[in-house]
Amino acid sequence: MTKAVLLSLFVLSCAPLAVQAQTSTQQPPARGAALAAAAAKIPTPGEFPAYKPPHTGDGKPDFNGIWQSFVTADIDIQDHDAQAGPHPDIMGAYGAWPGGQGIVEGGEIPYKPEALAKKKANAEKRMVVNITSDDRRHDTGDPELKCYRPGVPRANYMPFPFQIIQSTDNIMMVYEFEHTLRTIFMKENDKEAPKDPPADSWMGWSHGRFEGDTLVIDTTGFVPYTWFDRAGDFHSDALHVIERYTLASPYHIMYEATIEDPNVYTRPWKVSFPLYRRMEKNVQLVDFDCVEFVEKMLYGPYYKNPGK
Amino acid sequence: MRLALAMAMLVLALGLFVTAMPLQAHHAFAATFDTQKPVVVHCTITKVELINPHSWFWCDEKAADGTVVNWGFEGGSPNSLIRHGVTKATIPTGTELIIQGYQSKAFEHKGVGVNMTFPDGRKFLFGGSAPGAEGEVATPTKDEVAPTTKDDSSSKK
Amino acid sequence: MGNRFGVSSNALMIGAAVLLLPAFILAQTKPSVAAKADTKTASAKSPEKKTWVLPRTPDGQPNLQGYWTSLSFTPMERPAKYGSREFLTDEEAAEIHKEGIQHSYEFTFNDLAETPVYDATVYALSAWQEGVAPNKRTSLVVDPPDGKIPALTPEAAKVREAVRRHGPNQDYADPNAPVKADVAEDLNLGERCLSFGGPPILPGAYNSNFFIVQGAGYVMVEYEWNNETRIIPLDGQPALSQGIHRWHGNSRGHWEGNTLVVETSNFRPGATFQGANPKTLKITEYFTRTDQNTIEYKFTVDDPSTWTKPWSAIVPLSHMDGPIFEYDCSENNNDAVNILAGARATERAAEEKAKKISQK
Repeated sequence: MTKAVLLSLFVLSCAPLAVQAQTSTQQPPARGAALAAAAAKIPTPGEFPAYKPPHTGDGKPDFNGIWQSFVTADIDIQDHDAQAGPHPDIMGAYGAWPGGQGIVEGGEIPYKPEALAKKKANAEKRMVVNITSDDRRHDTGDPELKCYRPGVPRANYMPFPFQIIQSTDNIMMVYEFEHTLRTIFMKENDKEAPKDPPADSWMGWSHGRFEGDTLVIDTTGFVPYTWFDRAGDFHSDALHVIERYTLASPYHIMYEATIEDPNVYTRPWKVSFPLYRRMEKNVQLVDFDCVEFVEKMLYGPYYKNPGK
Repeated sequence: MRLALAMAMLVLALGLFVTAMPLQAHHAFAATFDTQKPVVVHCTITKVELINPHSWFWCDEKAADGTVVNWGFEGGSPNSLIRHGVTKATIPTGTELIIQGYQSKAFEHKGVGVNMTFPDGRKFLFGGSAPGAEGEVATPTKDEVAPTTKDDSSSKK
Repeated sequence: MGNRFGVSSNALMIGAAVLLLPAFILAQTKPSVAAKADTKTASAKSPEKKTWVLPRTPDGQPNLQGYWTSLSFTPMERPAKYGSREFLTDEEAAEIHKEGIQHSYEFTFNDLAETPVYDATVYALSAWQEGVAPNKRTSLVVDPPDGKIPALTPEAAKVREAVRRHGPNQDYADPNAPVKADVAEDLNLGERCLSFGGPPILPGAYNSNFFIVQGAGYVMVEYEWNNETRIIPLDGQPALSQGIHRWHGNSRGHWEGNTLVVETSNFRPGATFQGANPKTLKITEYFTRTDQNTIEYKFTVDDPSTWTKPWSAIVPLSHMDGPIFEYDCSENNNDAVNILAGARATERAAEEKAKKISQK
């Protein structure tokens, strides 16, 4: 055998490999192309393909279900790094707080200068609990720490699920955190639900309507005592929140809230984040009635042997 | 054993009675307010708290020497008031009231408002008796709640 | 519509209720078959006669939605004077209703000298202001047929007796008796804003109101007190997790004809109806809308470790005008502070008095 023959044999033996190599970089057969192409594409965070949600029996987008967010905004609605929590000497990693990106569009909350000072004072005193039998009890201390109702929109980004029960005239939002409840009045000219809030409340007075498949909720009538997070972000009784809930997939609501309070901010500002449908097979709300966990903290100074 | 007994006691106290609330409420008042310390306070409203479990009315009393003391008086849950058209605007700050009540056991300037009237004798908020008994039910309008020269011949809206 | 009661619209409501008494009695005297109380859709319809049709939700379920009150003057157990009678005569019912609205809230300012409490009428909390409907039953308890709650088991009787001898932390009869309030746990669950009870739904003195909303396989019952809310999943939801215990138990519901049947168990220790055993207590409720303004609400209590047999009661739920406003509780629980601080003040006063005596 000559060198030429050996060379040819070598080339021939490599050819199948070369052909294989070529074949693997070619497109798959046309019949499964679309499927394979779709399977290969991972969703882009922040982007949802167009989605037409199921409707209720009365023709409205169906928000029924158990939902929860997974941002860490309850700690701080702006960007925050992980931090030791209270009493790290006892609590260790149990008590440490995770970091997370903020939910404020544009990043910064547009505080008036004097209001920013109040936010900082709030943060410094977030664990100063001084309960009196008058409204001075609200002067210091994060209301979440005291197991008070979280307000809007904080209730939607607490690390607890909530359930939406939707009927024609009312949409109820039942939160696991301290069985907080929001009644969203959906009926126009509802004589049992006047347009203006009759009195102030922690979760506000809400009227809702649909714009296409988006649920728009307009809420006023807030007491000035809730915070937006543990970082002391706060509001006055002039707070006005407009929320938009849009079903973005069978498993997601895209949520945004516009916050307006001329006493505290120089302009309205927005937060947004997805809400996720809880999909555990046996999912239900359980109780987190935290009042029983805070009684000693709230009332200890009035106990028979305080400090014991 | 003692803890279980205490638990059982609490539960029975809550559950044994069909109308559980009045007896519980009675207990709370007896523990909180002192029947040996009746007060009559003539004052002007500084803050109205339509809150639960009890509403609270905060009221400045001016002494003869000009010093001002702020009193707080406990009232009923406001939820039925709201159903009857009372709002946070119904009792403006500055409204003059005469409050008869009992002082709290612990705090000098807190009490329960047993009988609340305007200086001209009209009852605060709702008055009257059940239908069929004497008296009329009058729902004050916002104008009537604030001190005016109107007479008390309003009928419910 | 003229009425003999007075000018307020609430009086009109009461007046209307009394004038409608015959119709209401008709609804009440229908035999209350546990599961299958039917509606009043008459089989013989005449074109002029309006018959009530049970409203339905958009997904076809009987519509129980709206605001309802359980306020009632009917006692839980049948007073002896009625013997074995399940129903009152029209005259008796009217008399009881009239007397009830005259004395609806026992702590009025007529008792000024004895009872340091606000006048409920001022806050529109008297029954006649909140809207109480007459009831023709002699008792809420309907089974056993004598209208009395069955005997306790020996074990439960022992516990009750021990509690009775030990006495409550507060002497309800004497407003000036010393009160034991060393720590928050000495107060009752309502005073601590932990739970105002239920199931079952019972008549309360005031704010005895409920809001029912139905949506996609769930029924929500909101209680006005503390806005405590029960969510009842209907047929087809997964089974209860047996290791979960809740203040209002854990509920499952299903429809039997036009009646919503709700079964609840998994109660927390210390928070059960009449101190029943949380491990063995089961409460079954039956909601049937019998006309536009009435839900017949029946509940059956079954706890073999507490009662010698199951027993049932019917509490009428009457339509009322809303809304049910937010009921913040712990947020502004001045009572908890004032009770505890009051007990401390009483102790201090007693100590100072004792010191003065010993110094003489």
